[in-house]
Amino acid sequence: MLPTTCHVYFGSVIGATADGRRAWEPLSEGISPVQGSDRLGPTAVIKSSSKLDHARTGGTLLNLKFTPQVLEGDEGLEKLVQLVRSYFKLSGHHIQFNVVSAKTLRAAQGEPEKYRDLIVRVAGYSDYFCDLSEALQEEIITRTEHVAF
Amino acid sequence: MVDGQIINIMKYSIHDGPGIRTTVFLKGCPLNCQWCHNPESQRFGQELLYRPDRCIGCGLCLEVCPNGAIIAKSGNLKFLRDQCQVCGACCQVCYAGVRELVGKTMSVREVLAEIEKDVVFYDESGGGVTFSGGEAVMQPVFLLEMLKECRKKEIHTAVETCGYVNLEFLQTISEYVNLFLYDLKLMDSQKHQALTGVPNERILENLSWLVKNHSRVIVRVPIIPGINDDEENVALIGEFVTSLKQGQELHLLPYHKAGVDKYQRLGRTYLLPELQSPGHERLEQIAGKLEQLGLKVKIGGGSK
Amino acid sequence: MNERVTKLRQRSLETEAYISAERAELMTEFYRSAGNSSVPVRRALAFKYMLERKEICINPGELIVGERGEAPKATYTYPELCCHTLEDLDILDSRPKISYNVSPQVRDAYEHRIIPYWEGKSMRDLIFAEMSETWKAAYDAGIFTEFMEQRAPGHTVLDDKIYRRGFLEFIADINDHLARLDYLNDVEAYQKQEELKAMRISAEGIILFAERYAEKAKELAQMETDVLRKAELEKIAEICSHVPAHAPRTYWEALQAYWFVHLGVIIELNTWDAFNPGRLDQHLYPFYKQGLAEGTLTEEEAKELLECFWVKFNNQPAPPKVGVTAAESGTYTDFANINSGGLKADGSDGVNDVTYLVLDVIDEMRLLQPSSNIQLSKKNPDRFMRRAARIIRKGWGQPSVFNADTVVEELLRQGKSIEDARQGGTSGCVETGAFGKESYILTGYFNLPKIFELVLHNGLDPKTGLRLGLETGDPKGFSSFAELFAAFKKQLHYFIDVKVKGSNIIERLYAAYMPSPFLSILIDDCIAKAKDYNDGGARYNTNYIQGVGLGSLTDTLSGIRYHVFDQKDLTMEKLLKALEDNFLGHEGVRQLLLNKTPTLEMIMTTPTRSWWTFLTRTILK
Repeated sequence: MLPTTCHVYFGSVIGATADGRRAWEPLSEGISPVQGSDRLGPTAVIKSSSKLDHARTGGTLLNLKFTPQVLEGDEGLEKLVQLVRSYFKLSGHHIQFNVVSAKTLRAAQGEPEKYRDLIVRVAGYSDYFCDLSEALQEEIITRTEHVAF
Repeated sequence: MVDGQIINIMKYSIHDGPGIRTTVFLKGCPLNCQWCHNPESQRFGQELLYRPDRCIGCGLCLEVCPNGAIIAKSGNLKFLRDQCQVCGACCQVCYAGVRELVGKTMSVREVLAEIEKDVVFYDESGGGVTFSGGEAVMQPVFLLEMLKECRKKEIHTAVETCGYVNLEFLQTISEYVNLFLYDLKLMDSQKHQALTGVPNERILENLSWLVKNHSRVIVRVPIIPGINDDEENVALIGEFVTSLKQGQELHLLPYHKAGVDKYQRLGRTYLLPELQSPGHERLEQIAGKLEQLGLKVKIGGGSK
Repeated sequence: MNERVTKLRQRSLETEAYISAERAELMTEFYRSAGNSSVPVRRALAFKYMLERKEICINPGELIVGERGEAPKATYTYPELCCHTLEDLDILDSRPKISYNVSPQVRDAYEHRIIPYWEGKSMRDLIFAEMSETWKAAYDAGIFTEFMEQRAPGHTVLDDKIYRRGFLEFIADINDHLARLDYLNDVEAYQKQEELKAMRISAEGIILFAERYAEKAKELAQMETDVLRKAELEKIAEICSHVPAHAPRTYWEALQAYWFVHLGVIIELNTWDAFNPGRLDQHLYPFYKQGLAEGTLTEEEAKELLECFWVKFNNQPAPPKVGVTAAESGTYTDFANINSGGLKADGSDGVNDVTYLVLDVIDEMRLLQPSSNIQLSKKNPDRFMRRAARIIRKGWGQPSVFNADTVVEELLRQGKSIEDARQGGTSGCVETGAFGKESYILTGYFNLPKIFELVLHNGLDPKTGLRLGLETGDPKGFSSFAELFAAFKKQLHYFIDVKVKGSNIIERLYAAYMPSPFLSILIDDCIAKAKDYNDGGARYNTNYIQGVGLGSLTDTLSGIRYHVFDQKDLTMEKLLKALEDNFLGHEGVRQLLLNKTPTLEMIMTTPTRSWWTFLTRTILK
């Protein structure tokens, strides 16, 4: 059993759950809750995760998903560094960044509930991909396919 | 103390000033720019956002509506916006997120509590809070209180403004604002009026005062293709701003279509559906022209 | 990436994983003909037997040599731990994702020689025979997984010992301890003797293995017509004669020394997360500095060697599982997660030139294996994080970022010394350990949301109808959230006990029947204690149970607390019906739970606290 498939296996033996998840579907990854009407972006997720007493665990796993545009340019890079430093100031144990591909965005279009935590850069701001109109989602997917570093 | 009419408090704002910021969007604006990407910010008072594509047909909204604004028609639920009094009863029972009230009354303390949650990020990144909207200065008493509180807590403050406000208000808040982000769109006053609803004399006068009397102002020019990106307007903007201050900082904000759906959700019509974002080359061109006039130009909304 | 590395990398990417029966055959051969020996000595003799006979592989253009199997991507099997059936092999060969080719010869070997010997005799068989019915029921129902039913405990990381000492010195140590055994007063003297002997035999095995590589390199050099390659092969021969018998003298020798040790560990047994050089930048830096100063190494050469080293990891796919889990695809990666950055033993900033070199290599190589992470301390400069950030945002998932300061705090809390804590790091996915001195074994994943589901059904598993858990009460009868949560804690503790009881037995089974003397040489204080790694020989012995689904659990608890108990806009009865019907006909309830539930954060911390209380029982023997 591997960490990547465990949420799938464990979910497959559990019926519907009170977080709105349907029967036999995968569990959420990692330590941070993603449902709820107060999703407020990466800083909120980090603050939320920092409430765990990490030093008492043997290790925690926090995954943040971004599209490349959120991290674009020197500024985007600086922000990434600053997010990490802030989380660690709060004694977070681990963080990793999933910079998602256009393929993942397509999947998110098809199954928005599984990608509720996906943040994309829209224009001058970042927003949840699943909250955007289809037209805008298409635009971002096209953009993502062409982002190069 | 006066409460504020708030649309949204957005965390991890990285394009509304330096560092990682929280942007507080206030409701109500004296302008009605045709390209506005936050149409829900223009009117004062609550409005109803309606997204029928999410409807699951449970009919709870119909049951609770006291004004007959929701009816069932050939198996579907239909919204009669003219009847709607924006009481919000339907929003309480819509679990699918079809109906949402935009515009919320919040006290200074409530807003401050939200802002304070991200202090560690401001510290780490040189960020802070940005008051925007709508037009933040249209709620001057609330805004002043907020700024004073942030100053007390040593949180860096930025205010975005369209400039079509009472100069006295700008003057009063000035000492509590670390950074002004001042929008400038069109130099021709008649054209300005046609496209935003108001003439621009006051905007230009206020900017004059601000540049001369405040230590940090960044002029922000949204580039709307076909509307304000012509050579003449660009040149006039450049000359005007340079006349106020040599080497003045100016940011170009490319038009984007992100807000277009919101018009539909508000039951309004978007007047510029054919508009596209300007390409990067175009922006570079404009930036070049302005730099030649002696301005310090940047493309995009973040800043150091 | 120069031409050589490009070729090696390409070959690694293009070669398909396949099952090699070489180890299984040798192991079977050995066991059939082995005489009587103590368990540890027998394992060591088996190890030596394999290393004496297995095929030696040197690929064209390589600078670092050694494959686990007979060629790149040859994937060994470990029938003494778990024996694949023919059905398993067929699934592995044919499954659409993460497949391993099985040649007719391999299948044949399994059918006629390997299965007939090992069927019913593997550790897996032994483990399942010893587990209680309760444990098995919980395991089958997916309440937890058991890591040791397919793979050896392992899951540890090396420190700097092999860069300072060679195996001849380890043998001298071992002999010294043998000489000092007190047969008069120490009741364990004989056991210790056998373990030490086993370690010595294993050490001889690895030295011998390297010498065979030296031989092969010499042979190839003699036949080589290309002048440059000939010189390289001669150099390789020289290096393989020197390490790992002696401590490495140069950067190149250091990398080769580690690689032989790595192969030793993964040939002996299929340990979790293979093996791991740990704080590689710290270990290589003195060699790097010296080489540059002496003019015997250039930056380019250092990078090239490191890139050749990287390819080696990628050539060793993770050994595939048997049974139920074989039908699911897994991954080829074996989680060797190399650490960069962090702190030195004296607490100062550990980032050095080799750290940046490693980052460059990670950026260029883009291989599945090895994995990589950075250890970021407040003492490390921002430019280090920025450099890593440039790689991160390219989006292929590496490196991950760890808080070195929190890692140190965690290790201190577990009772490690400050120096051991600072020289530790993280491995596998996110597990913290004191490198070179700790056995931090994973016992399995724990299905937190499933246990909660049992609570909602008074201990019954709705999927199978079996009574799996305690009768903690009809949830419709709970009058407060506190009551519900108390029931959950009860259920949770019950299953932790079941799991821990099982793990305690499994541990003893490995100690008694499947020690790993070679690995034991590498981890302190096995030699000093004359105790095997699988028997508590390490300085620190920690067990982990990994809780899974904390996010889902928090959302679930939030939903119930908010709607059923606080707002009272949903009754427990209605909720249970909606769940039973999988929300069909209850879409409103589902949307309510999804969209109208604020996250109640204090809930998230609570399971972890009660979790911790019970985990401390198993820690620190």
